[in-house]
Amino acid sequence: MGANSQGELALVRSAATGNGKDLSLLYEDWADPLFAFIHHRLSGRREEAEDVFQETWLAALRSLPTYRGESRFFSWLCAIARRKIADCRRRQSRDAAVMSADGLPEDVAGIADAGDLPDDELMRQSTRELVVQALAELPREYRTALIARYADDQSVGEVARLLGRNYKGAESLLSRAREALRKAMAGAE
Amino acid sequence: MKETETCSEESIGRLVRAAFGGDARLGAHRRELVKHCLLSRPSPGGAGATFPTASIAALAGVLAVFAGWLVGWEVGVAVLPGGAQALHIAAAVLIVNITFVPVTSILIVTRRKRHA
Repeated sequence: MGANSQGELALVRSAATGNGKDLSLLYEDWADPLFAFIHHRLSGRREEAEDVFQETWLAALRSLPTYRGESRFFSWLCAIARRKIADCRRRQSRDAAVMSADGLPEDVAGIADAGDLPDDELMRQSTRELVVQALAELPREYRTALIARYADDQSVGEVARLLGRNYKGAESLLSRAREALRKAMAGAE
Repeated sequence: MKETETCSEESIGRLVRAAFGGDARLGAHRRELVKHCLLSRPSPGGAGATFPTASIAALAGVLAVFAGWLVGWEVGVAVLPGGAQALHIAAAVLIVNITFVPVTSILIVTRRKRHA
């Protein structure tokens, strides 16, 4: 187990004993990647993603004392999220055989309307999930820098301010972060 | 070389944007709401954490039954705020009251009439 994982395990153990500050840190660290993961898994259905996100954290909070650090904390969270997503799908299939007018389930009809073949959509979804998981493996500073620069469209100067670095330092950090992401994605494929 | 670097930076940027951009980000309000919900819950120690609240609910229920037995009144149970465990216990106590209190009231009234 690496130093990073050791730190993670210590943080989780502390949160499990009721340390609110560490629980808050855990949440701040993983809220965005977890939501993105769930969002992509649910094909962008936002309301359901928000519900599953909340259910996942509540279940994770109850199960924190059982986390042994055998996998990365984010992988552990994703495993809980997958179960919650499966529950959500079961609920939906029970509640609604909601079919659109032409007999297709609503989400499939939506994909067809958007002009995407289901295979393409699945491919994009799995690529996005891969990026989310690869980003979650990176050190916190790399992740923050990449999301700020590319997802939030912040300038290098703004990233530098966000991370408390000078311009050159932020540029160099972004370059290392990109390289780390490339490697993490290659490793995950 | 520079061109290759720029191109790969663009592709990394596109991937990060696709994974984390726009709708894939949690709104600030929801984010804070879930955080608040997590932090305000009892620590994940499980039963130990909810035990005091559950005990208070159970004790209140028992006292209510005892008071009902003493005075012969029907007594409701105030459901104390707390976790699901406390609510379950309070609900169980309420059911006991509903069935038990009228019976004890009848017994007391009968006894008073006999003494009178």
